[in-house]
Amino acid sequence: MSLSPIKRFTRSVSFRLNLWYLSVFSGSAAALFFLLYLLLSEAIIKKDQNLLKAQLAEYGAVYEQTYRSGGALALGRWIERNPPSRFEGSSFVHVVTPDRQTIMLKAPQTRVGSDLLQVGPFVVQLETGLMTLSEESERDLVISTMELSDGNYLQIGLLTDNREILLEPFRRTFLLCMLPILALGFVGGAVFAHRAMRPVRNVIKTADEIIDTGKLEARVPMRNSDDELDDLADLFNRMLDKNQALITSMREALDNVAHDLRTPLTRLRGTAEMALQGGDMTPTGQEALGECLEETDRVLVILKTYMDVAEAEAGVLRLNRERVDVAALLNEAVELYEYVAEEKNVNVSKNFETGLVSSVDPVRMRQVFANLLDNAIKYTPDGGEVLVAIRRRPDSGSEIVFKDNGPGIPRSDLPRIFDRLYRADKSRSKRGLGLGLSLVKAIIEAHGGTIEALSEEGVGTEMCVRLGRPSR
Amino acid sequence: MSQDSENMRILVVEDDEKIGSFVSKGLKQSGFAVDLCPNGEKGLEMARSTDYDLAVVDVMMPEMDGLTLVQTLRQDHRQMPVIFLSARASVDDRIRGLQSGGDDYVTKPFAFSELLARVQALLRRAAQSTEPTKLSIGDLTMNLLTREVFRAGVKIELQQREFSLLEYLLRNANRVVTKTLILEHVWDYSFDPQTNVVDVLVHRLRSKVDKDFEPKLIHTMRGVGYVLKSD
Repeated sequence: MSLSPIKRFTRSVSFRLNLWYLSVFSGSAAALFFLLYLLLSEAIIKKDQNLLKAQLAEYGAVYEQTYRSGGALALGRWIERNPPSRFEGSSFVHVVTPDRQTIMLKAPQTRVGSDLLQVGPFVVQLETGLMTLSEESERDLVISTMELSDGNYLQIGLLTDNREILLEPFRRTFLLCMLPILALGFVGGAVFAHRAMRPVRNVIKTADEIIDTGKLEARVPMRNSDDELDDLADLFNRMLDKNQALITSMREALDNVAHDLRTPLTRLRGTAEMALQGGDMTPTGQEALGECLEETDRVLVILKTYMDVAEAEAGVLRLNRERVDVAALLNEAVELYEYVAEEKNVNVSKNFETGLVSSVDPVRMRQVFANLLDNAIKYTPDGGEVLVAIRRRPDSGSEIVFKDNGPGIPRSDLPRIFDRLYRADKSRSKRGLGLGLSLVKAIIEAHGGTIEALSEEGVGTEMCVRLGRPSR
Repeated sequence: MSQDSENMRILVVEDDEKIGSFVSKGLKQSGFAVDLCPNGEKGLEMARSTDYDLAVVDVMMPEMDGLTLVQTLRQDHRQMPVIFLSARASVDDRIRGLQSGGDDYVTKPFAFSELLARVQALLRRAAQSTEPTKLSIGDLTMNLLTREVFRAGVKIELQQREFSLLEYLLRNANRVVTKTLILEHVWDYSFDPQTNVVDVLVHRLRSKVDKDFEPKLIHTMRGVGYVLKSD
């Protein structure tokens, strides 16, 4: 889960819900506007058409009355005396034969260019007499036609730019309204998504808390609304109850094993120590008792390590996490090994990027760092080099590297060095049981980190620990 | 050894017979008067009737456990220092022990020398003895103000941690000091990282303090720790 916050937000369900809400909200608003627009423009067209129809009826009647005394000519004269109410621009009155021969055309005329005449919506080429509709007129032209009794047609056309004038503000208002509607939709969507996702967020928060702190008592707060999300929270809580019971009993079992072994070890150790300090011992006896004590300690170390590895791998290792400066923690380990390295004539150099913080159990992490540094120094020959480095990872986590120029680990052994009881070099029987690295790995993984070993024979080994950045 | 254990009375509450017996025996050998109780109820009864300078209490006991015992004692305003003995080793358990009124927490199995050192440290703290400016044993002297160390009149140059170790050994002269205690005092490490860092430091100190001189002062007690003594 190493996404940037923005990327994580845009991939979140609440963001997607918000987008859905926003698109539905603004989509319906736009559809409503569009419907209104259609209805309004329809109404305007209808009004214009009614107007034209009335005019058409009037002119048609005049034509029929004056048919015998001149028809189209008489109509033309009548029109000049009684022009249509809006006889301007591209308006026209037209009488045309069924085979499209113009008998009469009344329209305001303007000269455009040397050989073109604009007559209403028509452009007439003066030389050829060819008549075509001008382009601009095609859009808003409303035409009404009626058949006359002599088989000719009477047409009245009107350029309805008044529609433009009426609808243009409507469109502008629509655009102006859409901005606040979008904003409102976004805010509404955010509130809606936030509220809808709250129970899910509670579940996530609880799970996070348990993973982060290891406190198994955390539960999702119930809202008692009896909906599916409440059911989810309830089921999740019941699952947590079961997990807690399981983990608690597992811990108790492990604790009991530890207790049952620790008590006899204490008796053994105490008895030997008392005898040793009693003073009435032969040197051989003292030697034997000393060895008993040392072996007791070794058994204890093995027991402790086994318990830790078992707990960590079972996911029940208790971690007391706090925000820790990684460099400070690592410095402690380097200081601890200062003399050991000096005695071995191994040079330990540091390359720390400062200011990196991690949420870890400091006691456990000290153990990890000490163990890794111990290994690095132990397996580096006299006069060798150990480099301890801290680097910032792209997701602000930290990467801690222990690099030595020792003999390296054979390629075939590399995948198994973190296994329990495994030791690459069987002759290294001096200290520990090879449990060390499996414990290191278990602790790091219990922290949600990773460890990787890179090694080349004859060149050296690099142990690379990666820890996440603190979540909050 | 006897100057700080004189007339001191210690209560040991431990249900394991064997452990109880060697703890009380060891403390008696160190000069303390010791009462041993096999369970919590008896321990509470004893602690209420007698004035103790210190108590060593096992945590896990049947019936009344150690934590309850000490909590009850603290409610009764019994302020003597308490050291818990426990087979539980986690930090949480340690914290719980200290929260219920314990002053120190020793995990089983323990070296008796370590328990003894902790008993003495708590008693010293309770007595608030005056801080010396000079420590010495045989022909070795340490001036805590000037931070100078002399052996048979010869000045010895010590590095910081070597000095801390020698100071700690001198303060506990004639007593066995465990590796765990050394790690705690010299490096402030509260766990044993299972390393040889202590041996290396002791080795370095020896080469400066003991190598060219007789008699040797730093002695290894195999399986237990180190002791500084002049005989």
